[in-house]
Amino acid sequence: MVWVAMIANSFLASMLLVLPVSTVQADGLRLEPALAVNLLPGMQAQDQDPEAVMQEVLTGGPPGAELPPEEWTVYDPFPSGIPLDWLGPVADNLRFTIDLSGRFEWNSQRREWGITQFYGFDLYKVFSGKEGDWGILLLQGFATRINNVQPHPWFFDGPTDWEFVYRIFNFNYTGLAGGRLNVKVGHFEMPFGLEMLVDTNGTLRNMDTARNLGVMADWGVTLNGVLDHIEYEVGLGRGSGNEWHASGSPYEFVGRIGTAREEPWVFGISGFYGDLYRPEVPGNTIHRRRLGFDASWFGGPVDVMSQVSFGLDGDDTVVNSLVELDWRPVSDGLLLYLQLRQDSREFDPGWSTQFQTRLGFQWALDNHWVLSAEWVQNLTNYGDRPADTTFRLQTRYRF
Amino acid sequence: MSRLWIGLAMLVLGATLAETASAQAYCALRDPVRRVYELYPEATAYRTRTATVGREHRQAMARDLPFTLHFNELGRHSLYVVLQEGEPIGLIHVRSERGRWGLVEVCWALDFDLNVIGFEFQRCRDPGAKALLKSEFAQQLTGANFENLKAWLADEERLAEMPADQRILAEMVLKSGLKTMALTEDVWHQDLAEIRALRHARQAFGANATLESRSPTTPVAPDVGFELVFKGEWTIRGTDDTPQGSLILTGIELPGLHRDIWWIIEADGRLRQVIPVGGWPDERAATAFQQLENRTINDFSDCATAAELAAEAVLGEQESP
Repeated sequence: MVWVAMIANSFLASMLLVLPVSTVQADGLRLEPALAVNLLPGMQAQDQDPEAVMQEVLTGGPPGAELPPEEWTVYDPFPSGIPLDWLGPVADNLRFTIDLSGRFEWNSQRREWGITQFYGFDLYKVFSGKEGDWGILLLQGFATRINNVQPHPWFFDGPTDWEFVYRIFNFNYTGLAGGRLNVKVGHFEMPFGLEMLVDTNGTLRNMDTARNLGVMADWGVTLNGVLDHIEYEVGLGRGSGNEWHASGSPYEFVGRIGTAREEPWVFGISGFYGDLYRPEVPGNTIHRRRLGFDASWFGGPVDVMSQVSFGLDGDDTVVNSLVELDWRPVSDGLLLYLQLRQDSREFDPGWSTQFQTRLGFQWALDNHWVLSAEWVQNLTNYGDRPADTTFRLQTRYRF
Repeated sequence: MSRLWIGLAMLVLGATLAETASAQAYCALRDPVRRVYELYPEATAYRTRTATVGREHRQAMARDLPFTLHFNELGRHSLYVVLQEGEPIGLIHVRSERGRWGLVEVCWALDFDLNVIGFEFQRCRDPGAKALLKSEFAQQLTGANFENLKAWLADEERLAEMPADQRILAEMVLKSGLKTMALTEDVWHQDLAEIRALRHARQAFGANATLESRSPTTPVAPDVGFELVFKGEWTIRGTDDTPQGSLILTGIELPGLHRDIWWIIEADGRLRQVIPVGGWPDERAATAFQQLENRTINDFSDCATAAELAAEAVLGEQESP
């Protein structure tokens, strides 16, 4: 029956295109085209939408038929939160989202809760002209409140404090070579190790960058780009982290060059050399240098990522490594991860090693909410420090 | 204290206005730079066009396809216009799909009529991905349009001929392609219209032709008996800035023919060329419209077919002050 309707409909439509609209011209009567068309059987209202008939025949399902949830497409993880079109031209290539989160932390030694709250925004704007894109502005600023958090980042005045934290706050000029050679200016994330691949800013999960290097992001300039088989970023930073401080002439050189992240196997080599600002030490700087290697495999719902780095903290030799096993059992909305970290330091008179495991999950309930939790267990600790346990929970809401 | 209240009010207002948000921070956003230059080796740059995909686009897709977007897919999405020395040469759009092995990002290269130039996996953990990219499937996909993909997806026998480890991924790729084409046409129609207009003008009047956009005098053609919507109009100018003709974009809705159609008109009012977006659905439609070329139709009593009626309305629009 459906075939008959389809064939009949196609025939009538074809006839309409090639046959006269008015086959009979009455004497003295001017036939209005609209009337003529309406008189044609092919143009009359159909009981069933011809497109629907066609689709049912072709696909076996009516248009708009709901698919079961397992057939749903995964969400695009980067939509904008607030409608922006009313901004007119300013909204061109703009994404903007308010980002709120609360983090709760409990340590077995302190036996106290620490709480961190983040109130911020995330703005991404591509500047484009007739000759193509020429820049990307990425601003992530967070009013951050810590309550009884110990240890805490050095730029907080104490375990309970407010600070405005610039996570990433920069402009990447991309107009030189169509994305192959860009110049980034502002507060940039350290291009070192696995962090370049996974972007853990604002999440419990991290790749040990801040602790290992002593700085997570810094003010400065980088050269970066994507070539046929490699990608790179090398930078020069102020060496003071969240805030700009020149006392003690801090600085750092940092960079990573790696293979294409789209491939199943990804390799990278990273370097870091610098004096970092610390107000509490003589001379106001600490010295760090690192050479790092990372290798990752992305296959099926499982990722295996690893990195090793060695270098100096002042005069102390440091060797550390991290292996992470990721599993997405249902979809990309749920990530389970297990990390094994090793950090060995040659203190005077001998070596001391911390082994640590981190077991955690990130669960994106929808486009707004992300719940995450992490269990951090020190298996061995430096010197005679206890093998303590820390639990962390985080709720994040973006709109 | 008042600042606190203002801040809270803004947050509440923002939450009220919120449509879809992002579970992932924008620092993880990356342009498909490598894929742009792989799929278009002659490219020198690209231009990002970000637009909002809303519920209306989801509904439109449901009219064209037996599946549609999930609500979580609504929001801001980017289309990349690939350039060679400043001139558009193609499109790149990346869509995320759910595969057997997690998220699959398919990077589509399309021409401006939304035919497939090629595709690559931006991210895919399916072990059959490499084989699929080298298979006949990938080769046959090149040049395919929306109708081809739709028919292919419905052709169970053709899909059954594929190796079992590639078939599911192939079906996902076909769906991704259909969604990409439908969304690109629907969401970025204004950007596409500007690009297509310049391309048609230069093909008809030479590489130095320039365009001047003008507003249609009437949004819908009256008294033609079917839906004929004027979507855009341009004056084509030559090197000395003299008008050489006009370009009109219409949407036409007839049983069996639901198309956007470009009309290229000479300065003397002759219809030079009629170009459908996405091709003609069949030979009869093609014949009906192509026989209008090089004709002047300025009286609808001369019209014997729906195609001629449409042409008369378009030429009348072009002559309107």
